Amino acid sequence: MKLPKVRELGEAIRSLLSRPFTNGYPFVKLTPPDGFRGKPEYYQDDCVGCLACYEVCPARAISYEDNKEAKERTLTHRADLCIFCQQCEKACITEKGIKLTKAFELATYERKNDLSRSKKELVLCENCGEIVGCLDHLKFLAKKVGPLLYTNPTLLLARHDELNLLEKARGQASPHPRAGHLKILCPNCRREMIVKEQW
Amino acid sequence: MAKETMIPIGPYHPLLEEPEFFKFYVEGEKIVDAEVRVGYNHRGVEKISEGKTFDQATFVVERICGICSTSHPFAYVRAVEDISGIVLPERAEYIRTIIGDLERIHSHLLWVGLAGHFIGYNTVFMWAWKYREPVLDMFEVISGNRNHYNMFKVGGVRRDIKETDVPGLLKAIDDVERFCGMLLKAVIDDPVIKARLKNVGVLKKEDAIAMGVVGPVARASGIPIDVRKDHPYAAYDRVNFERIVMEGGDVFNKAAIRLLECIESTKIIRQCLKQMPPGPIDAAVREVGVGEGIGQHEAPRGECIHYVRSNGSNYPERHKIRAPSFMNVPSFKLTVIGESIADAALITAAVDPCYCCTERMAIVDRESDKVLLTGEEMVRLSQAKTEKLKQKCLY
Repeated sequence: MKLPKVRELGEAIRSLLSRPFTNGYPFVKLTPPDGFRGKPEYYQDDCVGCLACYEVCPARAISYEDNKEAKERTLTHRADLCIFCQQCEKACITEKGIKLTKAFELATYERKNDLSRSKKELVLCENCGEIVGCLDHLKFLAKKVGPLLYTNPTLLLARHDELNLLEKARGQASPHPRAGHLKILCPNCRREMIVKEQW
Repeated sequence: MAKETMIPIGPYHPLLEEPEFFKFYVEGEKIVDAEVRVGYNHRGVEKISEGKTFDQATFVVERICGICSTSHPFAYVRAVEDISGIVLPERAEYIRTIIGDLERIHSHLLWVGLAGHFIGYNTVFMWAWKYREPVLDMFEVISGNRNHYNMFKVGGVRRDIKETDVPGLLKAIDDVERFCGMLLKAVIDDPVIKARLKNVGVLKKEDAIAMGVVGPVARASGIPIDVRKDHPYAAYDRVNFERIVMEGGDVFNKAAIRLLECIESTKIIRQCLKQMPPGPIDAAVREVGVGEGIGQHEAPRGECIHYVRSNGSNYPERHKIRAPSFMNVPSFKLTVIGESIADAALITAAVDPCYCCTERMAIVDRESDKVLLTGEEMVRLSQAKTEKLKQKCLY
């Protein structure tokens, strides 16, 4: 009877003498450890609009909208649907386009407005007007593939656009029947152009 | 004959985890019949999982349960790996073992705290949750979240355990081991707890076999089943640990088994951290073949089974889940009959189904459907009984 009480008394005294185990959270700011999975944020400069994050998201918290008139693609991340699984960050081809922050105080009055957006310029097919991809995505790929770039006119032209050589190249080639080679085309139009090409 | 009263117990709120519904028929204080119904909260997880890719489905099954959120992904990834016989890197197997057993510790400590609360020992509640906190903090450091760790993927784990995290982890499990040892002795020595838990809600061995209970509930009734020993997986065959089995099957045994298992889990984690070899943590699975696979995992509440059939596409064709509580909950029908209402909250909590179930109880008079007692009053009733016993035992 006596012994157990002494043992528990030890724990009680230890608790009495130590500081409170809880912390004064709303007044004392909490810093999560490194690697904490908080709210994801888009980084406009590093995002290329490739939709890899949209593909992997298990909760479908990421959506996108293409506006052909304005030539703009908007990627939207909704924090109220997000499950903070970090798959978007891991799938990101630039590894910097969308990243998880340490933000965890996400309470808001209007859940639907808790958004993070990335707006990217779209490249449209010069023949049919279909979407080829985001300009930054094509430039990123052009840099990534290195010399192989010269096998793909769409990538090459996207790169030329960056170097302000596009107009020059087009101006030279426009009267030639094979001018189609120097157009930014969607895969369908490019195939068609190659098949129907007249020599 | 005393007037028979019906007591319905159960949450109808779909937000609560694992809703169950109990109807207790009582005569005075004594429960004469019980009715258990499950299936109130159909979330369609199996169908949702079939609409996700193999990789995405791990996140779906993780969210089946908030407390044991590793057991379902563990069983699921094992089922998918079983389809095409994927071999894991050794380090991934050790990390899986560590995560699985850390979770057992935090789940059992949560239960111990709640059991203490139900019998009116709020000190136990506070202490158990105090020692559970460092375990959750370590989860946050290792995986990035206190719950829903997202550690499992088909063919490995998603994050490595860094060298710098190991000292903190060792300290947390040392504290847990010391606390469990202290609490175990306190539970065994305390006459009030003994009077309150011993021979209450007894599940006999033959009844336990007939009901097909699993996990700590079965081991408390003397059935030595433990997937970790019977069909070793991950790194469980490379570490030494005891299979805890007790005869008796009452609430006291169920409590003692959970505390002893916490101590065994700390041993497993310590050995894993020691033996863990460096190397890759992911087998980089490119595709899942055609076929079917079964994955088991000894979750804190018992054996969790997942069945996955693949037709060679990116999505599971069929995904069947059997959670351990599904087997354990019907055993109430045998354990609760003959006990008093004051013990009902404790007995239903003893199989660790889900505490939210017992918090939303109400006693209803059969004739008038008038609510006589609410869930909080039931807990208060249980706590008052302990007070009475305390007076008798101590003074």
